[in-house]
Amino acid sequence: MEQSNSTLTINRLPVRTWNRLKLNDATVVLPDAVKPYEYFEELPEGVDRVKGKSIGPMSDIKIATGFGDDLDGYINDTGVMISGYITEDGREYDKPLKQKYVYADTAEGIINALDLTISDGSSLTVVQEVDGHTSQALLRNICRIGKNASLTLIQIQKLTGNTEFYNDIGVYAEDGGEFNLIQIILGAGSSYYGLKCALAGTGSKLSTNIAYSVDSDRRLDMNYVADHTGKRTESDISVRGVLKGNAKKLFRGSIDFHKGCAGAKGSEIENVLLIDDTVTNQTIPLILCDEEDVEGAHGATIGRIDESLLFYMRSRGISEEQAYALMEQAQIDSVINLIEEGILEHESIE
Amino acid sequence: MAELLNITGLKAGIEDKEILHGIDLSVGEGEVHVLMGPNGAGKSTLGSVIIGAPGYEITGGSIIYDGEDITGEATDKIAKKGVFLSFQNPIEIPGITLSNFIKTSMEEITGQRIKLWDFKKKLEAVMETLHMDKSYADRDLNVGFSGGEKKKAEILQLLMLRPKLAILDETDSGLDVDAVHIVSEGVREYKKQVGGALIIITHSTRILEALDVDKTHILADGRIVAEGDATLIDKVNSDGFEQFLG
Repeated sequence: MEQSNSTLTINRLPVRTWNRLKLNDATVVLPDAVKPYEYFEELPEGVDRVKGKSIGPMSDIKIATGFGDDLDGYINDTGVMISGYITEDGREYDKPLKQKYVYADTAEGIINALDLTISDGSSLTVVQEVDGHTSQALLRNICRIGKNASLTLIQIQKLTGNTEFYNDIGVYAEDGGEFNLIQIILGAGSSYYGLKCALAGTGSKLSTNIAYSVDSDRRLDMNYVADHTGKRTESDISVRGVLKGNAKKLFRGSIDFHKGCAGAKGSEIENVLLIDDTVTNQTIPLILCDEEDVEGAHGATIGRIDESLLFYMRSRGISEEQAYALMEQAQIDSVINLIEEGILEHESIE
Repeated sequence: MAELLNITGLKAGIEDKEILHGIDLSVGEGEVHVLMGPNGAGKSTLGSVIIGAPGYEITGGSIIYDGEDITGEATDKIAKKGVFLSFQNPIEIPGITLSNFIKTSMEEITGQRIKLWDFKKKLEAVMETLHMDKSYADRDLNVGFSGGEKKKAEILQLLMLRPKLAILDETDSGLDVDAVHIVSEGVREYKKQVGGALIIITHSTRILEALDVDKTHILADGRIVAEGDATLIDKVNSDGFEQFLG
């Protein structure tokens, strides 16, 4: 029997640019036959898990993701069951919720759709490690962050082979809610990453620290959107990466200040180390502004290792080749170092 | 003392501009040489050319180190042979900790893996002599360090890498009295522990307080215009460089 597929448009820029640049979005083909992957999980005591639905007082809020509506429709059509999680009000969890996805080749596509509710005043760290290889795998997180609640999501992706990996996140933060995202993107043949964070509550915050390494003929397509609607909201999107060989990377980073988000601040920065001239590096930083009383900043540092830095390293006996290897590692390590000691297993990011 | 460095008729510059117009300099093993001179004399250029800095073109003469011709050799190869340059403006490297950087350098120079525990113990001991807080070991190299801490980090590398020849390029510049004292102590420690030779490029004499200087060279307009023992430093201090300029 022939396998049926769906063609989707994902990772759309909030405002379109010239079509001929082919940067506005990504068109992908996903299989209709899918199943969820049975992941390993360490669930801290006091976090509730409910199969099949999102739970809690925020469960009715419609939350957009970085991939967009097409993906939402696709997940509904596949009938894949959502896994809902909810924390207790006011509780700060010492132990993280850990999940490990080690894919093995399957004929079907893999989808895991999670719905995390961080109840008012509580804080939780969620660690998701993705490893192994398969044809196509999708992981989607919907995060509902309550008043003065905080979620730190740490995602580490080390997929091998030609795996196509789709990682989509949608966040909604109420007053004083905080979402911290740490992503380490090291593998997969093609990766698509999306994030949309609705900073709806007064003083809600988004912080991302992302590191990627893309080599050979692999590609990475990213779309990160901070949607400021609440007053005095803050977003800080920070991305570091290394590109080698024939790698292709497209980063879309948008800070969208909507009318009424007075006092909001947003910044985004990407720092890319280009190892070879054969890489394709595309970066689109966007700041959209419909409110006067805001501060927005964006920047990018893109290039090879500075000659003076290389000379300094060589004056300490480090060869050019070793210097590049060290700097590549440094790009990733500077983000890994943000992960609290003891949260990851020792062999996690070797 | 056996000769460690022999520079003969060295001419070098940037693009078409010659900066060094024929330098002769000989440094014996374990000797302390001081290189002084007015701004723009070519002191830093000489230090940079010895260690093979990019951007400089050597148009004449030779640099023999430890019996080998290293003229125009790659910087990392010269460093591996035991030559160290302390930078006037040390570079910041986000993502590489001070500790990791020094360990990598040591492994590259010796060609041997170093046990982490042994390394940490030694690093901490040396940091203590330099009055450096241990937390600096785990901080990204020179990132957010004060001027004084950067210079201390250079001396820390000097003490850990144990080169046979160390060129200190204005290591004392921009430091307060206490920091100069600590750096100077570090250099004395290097002499005591390693017994290596030093070429100290300086404008002031504060860094020399704990050292016995063997020879002083005055560089002006890319030429060595005067040489002598440590008393030459006092002469510069009292009468300036004017007396040596033609």
